[in-house]
Amino acid sequence: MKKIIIYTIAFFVVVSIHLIINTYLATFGIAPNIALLAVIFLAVSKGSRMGMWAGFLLGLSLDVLLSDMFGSRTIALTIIGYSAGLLRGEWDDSSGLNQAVLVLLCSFTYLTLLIIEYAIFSTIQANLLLNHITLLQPVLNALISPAIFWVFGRFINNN
Amino acid sequence: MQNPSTIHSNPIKTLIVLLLIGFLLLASHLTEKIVVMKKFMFYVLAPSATSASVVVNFSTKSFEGVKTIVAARQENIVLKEIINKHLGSWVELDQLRQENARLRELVGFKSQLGNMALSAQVLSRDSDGWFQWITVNKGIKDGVIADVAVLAIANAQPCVLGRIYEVFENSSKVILITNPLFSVPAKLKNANRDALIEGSNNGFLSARFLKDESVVVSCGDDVITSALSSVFPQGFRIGTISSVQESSEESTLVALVKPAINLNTVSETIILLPKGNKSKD
Repeated sequence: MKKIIIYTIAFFVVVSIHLIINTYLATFGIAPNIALLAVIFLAVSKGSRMGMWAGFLLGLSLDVLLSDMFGSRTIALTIIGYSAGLLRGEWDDSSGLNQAVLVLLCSFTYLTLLIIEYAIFSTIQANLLLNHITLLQPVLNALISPAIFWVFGRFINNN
Repeated sequence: MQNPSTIHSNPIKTLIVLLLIGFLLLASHLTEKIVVMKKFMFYVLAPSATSASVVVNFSTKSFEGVKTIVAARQENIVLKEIINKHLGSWVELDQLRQENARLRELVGFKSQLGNMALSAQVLSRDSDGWFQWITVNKGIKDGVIADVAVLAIANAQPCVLGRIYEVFENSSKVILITNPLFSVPAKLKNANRDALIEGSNNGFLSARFLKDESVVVSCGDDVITSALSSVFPQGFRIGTISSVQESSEESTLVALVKPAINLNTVSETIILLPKGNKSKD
């Protein structure tokens, strides 16, 4: 019960931090995707099951609050959460370089999944999703991932 | 001993169910039931957006308060010296106040339209949809309805920012002018040509208009809203032309338009409510 309450509070905190950073701290629209980083972290530390549920819930939240294609981020983050969770125990997840590479790959995968979904379900040309923000965000995600993973790791260890 | 394949099959079944739910949400294209569910979830998640705004505003105000306190003592001493020196400048100060009032009237677009304009702050924005959507902090309770114009001030003029796309109780989602789903009938001011402005999900807009040898369209020309728009009143500034090129269709030209609003820094907006629908601001 205590864990459920803690994870529920953590869920709302992650959503709030994602909104704060994207709304108020973005520079020319470029900001890290905190929700994506949270999903990847939970996946590699707790496994595929936790990763895909985190992806589903955080993706659904972003779809409700921010997105036009309702369901797009839900699918993308669920797939990312499950796939990243398959790596649990298979690699050295304490290495900052490994974390950055994983986050970079997952970020581009996330972008690719969104483009495919827009190509299938939206009237917008999928290539219009590509701009300086969507191309630089994966790099930014990778650069800050070791610090973010350290913070998340402290939270998990204390609870 | 449990078969290893069954250990891993449950997460896969769960994954398939979650993905099916996601695809159903995508494919059902916001039917009535999905909209009701989405609105319910928005009310559950809205505290996150509101708390984010409250935290940032509180932090900003606290920081500003500390800065003010630190500077107040020195400023007090300096001001006393200035007051003693410039007692004779009160007349000039009065004139500056009158000029300030005139400039505020020019900038204060709301006062020009009275109750028709509603000021709103940007509540949340996502870098994934930076040039597509923003959420503002006015909703049904404030008299906002869907498909009304949203403006912002640039160079002391109200300029087109977007329109209301979705309305909730205390907030609204705005589709930005740079969203590929957004289009508005416009007029090239100097050339007096009708054009259609469309968003391109980057910092520029595209303007399509019929080719006419007798009319010259050049860079720097203003683009304003046309009388053909059912959402925007005529004459609001959209942007300026930065380049003109041939389009794939022989009879039309395409111009690249730089929006008048700096979309990277917009924080205050003005929602134009229809006449007879007074704001509760």
